[in-house]
Amino acid sequence: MQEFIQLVINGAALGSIYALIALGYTMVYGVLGLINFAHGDVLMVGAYAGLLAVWSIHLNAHPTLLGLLWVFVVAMVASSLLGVLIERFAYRPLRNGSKLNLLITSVGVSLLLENLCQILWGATPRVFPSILNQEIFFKVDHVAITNYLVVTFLVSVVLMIILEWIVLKTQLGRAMRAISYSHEMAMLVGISADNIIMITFMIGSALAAAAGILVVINYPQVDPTMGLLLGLKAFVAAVLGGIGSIRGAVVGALTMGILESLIAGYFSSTYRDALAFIVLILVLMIKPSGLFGHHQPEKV
Amino acid sequence: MSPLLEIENLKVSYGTIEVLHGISCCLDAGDIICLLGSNGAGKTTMLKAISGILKIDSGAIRFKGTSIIDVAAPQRVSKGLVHCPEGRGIFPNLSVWENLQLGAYSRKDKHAIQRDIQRGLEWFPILEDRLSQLAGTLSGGEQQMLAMARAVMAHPQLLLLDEPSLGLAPQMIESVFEKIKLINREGVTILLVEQNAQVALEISKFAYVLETGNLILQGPSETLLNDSSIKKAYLGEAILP
Ligand SMILES: Nc1ncnc2c1ncn2[C@@H]1O[C@H](COP(=O)(O)OP(=O)(O)OP(=O)(O)O)[C@@H](O)[C@H]1O
Ligand SMILES: [Mg+2]
Repeated sequence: MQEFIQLVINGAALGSIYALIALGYTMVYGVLGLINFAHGDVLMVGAYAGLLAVWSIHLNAHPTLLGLLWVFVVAMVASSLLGVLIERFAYRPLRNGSKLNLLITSVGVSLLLENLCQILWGATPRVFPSILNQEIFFKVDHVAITNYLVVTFLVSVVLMIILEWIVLKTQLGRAMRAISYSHEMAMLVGISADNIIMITFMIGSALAAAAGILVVINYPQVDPTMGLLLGLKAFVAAVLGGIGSIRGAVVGALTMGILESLIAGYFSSTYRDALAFIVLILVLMIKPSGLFGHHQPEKV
Repeated sequence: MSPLLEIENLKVSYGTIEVLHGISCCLDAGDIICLLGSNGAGKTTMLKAISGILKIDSGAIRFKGTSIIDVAAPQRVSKGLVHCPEGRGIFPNLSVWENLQLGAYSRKDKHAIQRDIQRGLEWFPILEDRLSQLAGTLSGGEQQMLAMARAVMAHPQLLLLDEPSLGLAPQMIESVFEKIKLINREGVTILLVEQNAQVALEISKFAYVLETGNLILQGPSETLLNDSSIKKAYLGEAILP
């Protein structure tokens, strides 16, 4: 039982990281109808930016909370800038064309980013210095909560609450939801789709970067293809939850994280990566619209 | 004084097919002006061109004396030109209250929004108890009320209304026309597209009739209403009882 609880907690932490990434997929899908295949690579660039941030203040010598915050901020700012650039120069010119063109372009952007990073940093993984002392924060019986788990939950919950507030309570969030219904109707109330879509990319990319830093704290290396598998798993989580649905992305991601942790714990960690594909196939077979996918009837 | 809206030789196409072949008209501030015409005449197309969600081929559109051809659709809203589209155009996935909030999206005086929502609810009391309901779950008539209440939230000077009575029961239609008159009395100029020619002519001051992309008739609504030969020739028995 103790082991089970531990695995579930670890899995929930992993799941909340996936959730941060999945939110980017689902939000961009919401406003643009696009599966942004470059999303995982935006995370990867954020991780590299985090590495630069670590070096810039020689944080690895002795980790501090302020230093940790600095790494998060640099990574998130860098990724959101990148997200804006990608939207502005790769997607916006094609927005009025077919969705397929956009999709293919996003695959192209993904490859471009991976190869650029390979040229800049080389293909071999770089060690990400320890920026958080891995120690046990508290322990109940044999269930240990490390301070990594605490940081992961704290960062993801805070970011998700901020996001929830933006989407549900602000004019910006209402505009995002209006655009996800119809660009044309949104324009008629004075919403400029360009601005809202740009901000959506900013937010989604910043969340991905935060997830990237949480990943490399635990698994201390960065390489140009690190975004692929992470991105894929988060994408599956978004599909499981119902792409376009924010709550669905979070529930889907937590489910994926916990399942993965249980599989790795009870069976073998070699199967954990297969899980994503199995889930994807099952969802597409059984309920393609996902757990929270909605087909709202529209009244005229 | 120049008219509120002037259109000169407006041409609009979908792909290679031209559907408006050079429309010219003039709307005076303060009036209700109706635009009649049978299905496919190009009425919706004309409204879309005015609000800017459709690119025009050529011609001039001047609002308050200045050309708005190079002004993007969202910015036209903040200039006071609001289009309430065919099929309501409300956001079904947002609550009634959120729809009203978005109506004020382009405004700078954010502090006055709550007060205006209150005023909107006085004008459209049907919405009062439904503020937290998803707009998509409203009845057709309620949705039309919401669409008009939301449009008013933008403080329009010119309101383009595309078939507000479409698909509604007679009683609701009457109520919708009452609201149109109310909005107009508050100083909003209204360009009203309607299939229901009789009522539209009754509440409007001036009328245009569009047929396959050309304005074929215009004049004071009263004249059109009383001239039975005009009725027969241009408006047809089907739309005028
Ligand atoms: N998106 C479009 N693509 C191609 N043709 C279109 C499009 N929208 C409208 N048309 C054509 O343009 C013409 C005018 O259409 P429009 O919708 O403006 O007519 P309308 O007067 O509003 O008709 P209704 O009374 O039925 O609403 C029609 O022949 C229609 O088929
Ligand atoms: Mg029409």
